Amino acid sequence: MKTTYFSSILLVSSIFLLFACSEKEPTATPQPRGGEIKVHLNHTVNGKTAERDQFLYMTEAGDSFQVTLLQYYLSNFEFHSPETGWKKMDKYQLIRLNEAGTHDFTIKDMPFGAYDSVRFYVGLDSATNHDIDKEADLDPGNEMVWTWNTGYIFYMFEGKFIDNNDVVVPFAYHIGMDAYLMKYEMPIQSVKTLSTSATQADLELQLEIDQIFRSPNLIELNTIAPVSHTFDEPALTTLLKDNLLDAFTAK
Amino acid sequence: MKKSLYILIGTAILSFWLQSCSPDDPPAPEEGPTQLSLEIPDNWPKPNLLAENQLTVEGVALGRKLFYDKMLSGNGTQACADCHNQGAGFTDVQKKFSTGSEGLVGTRNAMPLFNLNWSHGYFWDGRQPTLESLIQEPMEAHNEMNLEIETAVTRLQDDPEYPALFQKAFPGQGITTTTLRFAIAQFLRTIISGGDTKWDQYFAANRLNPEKLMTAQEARGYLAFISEEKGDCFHCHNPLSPLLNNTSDREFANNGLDAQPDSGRIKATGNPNDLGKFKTPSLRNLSFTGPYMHDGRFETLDQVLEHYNSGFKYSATIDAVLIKHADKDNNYAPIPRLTQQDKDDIIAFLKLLDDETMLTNPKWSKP
Ligand code: HEC
Ligand code: HEC
Repeated sequence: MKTTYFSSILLVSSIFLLFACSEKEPTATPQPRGGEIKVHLNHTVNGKTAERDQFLYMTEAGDSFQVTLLQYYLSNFEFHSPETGWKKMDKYQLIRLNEAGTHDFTIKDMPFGAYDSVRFYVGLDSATNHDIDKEADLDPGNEMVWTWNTGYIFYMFEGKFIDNNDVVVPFAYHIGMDAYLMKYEMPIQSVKTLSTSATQADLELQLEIDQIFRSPNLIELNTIAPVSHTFDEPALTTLLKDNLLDAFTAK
Repeated sequence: MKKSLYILIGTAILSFWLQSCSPDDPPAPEEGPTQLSLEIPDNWPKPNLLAENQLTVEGVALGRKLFYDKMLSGNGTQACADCHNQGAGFTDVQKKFSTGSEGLVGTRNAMPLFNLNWSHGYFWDGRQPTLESLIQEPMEAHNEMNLEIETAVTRLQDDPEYPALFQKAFPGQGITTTTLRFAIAQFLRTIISGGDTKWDQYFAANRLNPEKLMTAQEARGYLAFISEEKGDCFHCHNPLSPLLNNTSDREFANNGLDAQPDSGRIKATGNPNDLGKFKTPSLRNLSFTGPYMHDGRFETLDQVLEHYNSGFKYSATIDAVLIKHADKDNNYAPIPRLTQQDKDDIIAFLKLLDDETMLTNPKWSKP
């Protein structure tokens, strides 16, 4: 009797032992039910990998220019596959051209499927845009906020150009405000299939930086304001935004 | 017999379980210096500390003593504190340039020393990556303390007091160029100004509209400071950052002081785009830290404001924020935009950032 009593204590404590730490030490690896897409941003000017701080480039209109700074938010990713339809993923990322570490990020917990199209925003949805008490990528200390009332800067692009009098002039185009949120939808050039045997896929997003001055609106740097913060130059910002809508491809 | 065996096994299992599930328990206390955690105001970003140089009570106390010790200058007449005076926000009292221990005059305005944990480069041109690496420069410079750091180490080793203090702060490491630099850096890292000012109180209470708590003039000044049409100051002096500076792309900027800049951050990076760029300073404690700019060229805040209004000069590396207020058809000369009232208002706002308690806080005074 006594023996069984102690045996049961032993049994109970062993079971306890087995389960007590189960959070940290899973007993069996479960079958994956989803995969992940690793996104890489590739920034180009005139078809070549973008380099900063040197007069290497010409705009379509013939202005010599250089890139000194580029940073922007990507958010609201949705992926399409025949199996899943459009699937919205909760992910946003602040990309800084000057920090290679921000050019790669992973979208986790993707259901299996053959993904053939992607949607995303450059910028932040209205709710996020007007609630700036945030941390990490959305921390206002990232210098991606104007004031407390207008919200975040979605796309911050700065550089220098040489004007008609051969003077080097800095430019800064900061695009933000709800009305200028840039919404993208495009095919993925090579379909990304996630399945039990392939739980990871690489997606390359290419941003052609010079497209901002190219088409459909041909922009001559000499004739526009060198600095815009969106609300002070609404007409110019619309031109820049329309050009940027053609600036990304997904591979 | 059997019973005690079961008890033994049971206890073993239980204790195994207890151990295996408590990885977060604090390790057994070790002998050695006492860890010190910084008192950082709420909602500030994480400080950039150096992992190899953990702050300790003993290390900070030693660093403080060294900071005030004239023994660290060649002829024993000057301490760090002589150019970085607590009563002047740790600057050189009202001096454009400082005079070194040998009477030689420098070429830069002594910088205020507070909130240094939130910088990514030190000195006006950011040439030093860490505080620990910086210390040697002022000690050895001929127009500052003029003492080789190795000689300083020997002097300290021969001193009756210092060997025991270093032993307490850096057990078993002795007095070396490293422990000397580390101790002073530890002290500098504890100097934090913020939380106590009116600005910090208003900001904590109403982050979105702190102006609602200000006087009419301060509120006008704040709104001008953050407006693109008026002050347009916030791109470089971000009110959302602890230092009221910029900790990313405009941490070093060209604010148009010279038409032909010949130095600046380029000295540290070699990048021609960094010509004429200097560290964007904190706007805290301006009432105590004048004169202003890297060469102390402005004596008053009114002169600083007039510079941004009508005095900035075009050069190829001038910041775009200023070009916005320049006349394209007149060689990018400034287009004045601030009235005397605007300037006075902005200055009234800036005074909200004065932290009187820092000037007398006994933690940082001469030990
Ligand atoms: C003769 C005056 C003088 C003395 C003595 C002096 N400094 Fe300085 N300090 C300066 C000047 C001038 C600068 C700016 C130098 C520059 O940018 O080239 C400066 C800058 C600094 C900075 C950079 C702050 C920042 O925000 O980047 C630190 C830190 C500093 N000093 C610490 C010290 C320490 C520690 C000592 C003693 C070992 C010391 N100084 C002694 C004049 C002095
Ligand atoms: C383009 C970025 C930029 C803008 C815009 C700007 N500043 Fe500055 N500010 C700087 C830099 C950089 C320095 C240091 C320059 C130097 O010493 O060479 C500085 C220095 C100062 C100083 C002197 C601080 C000291 O300790 O010496 C004050 C005060 C100041 N700025 C206030 C303002 C105000 C007010 C505005 C708006 C009217 C403003 N700044 C706009 C970048 C900027």
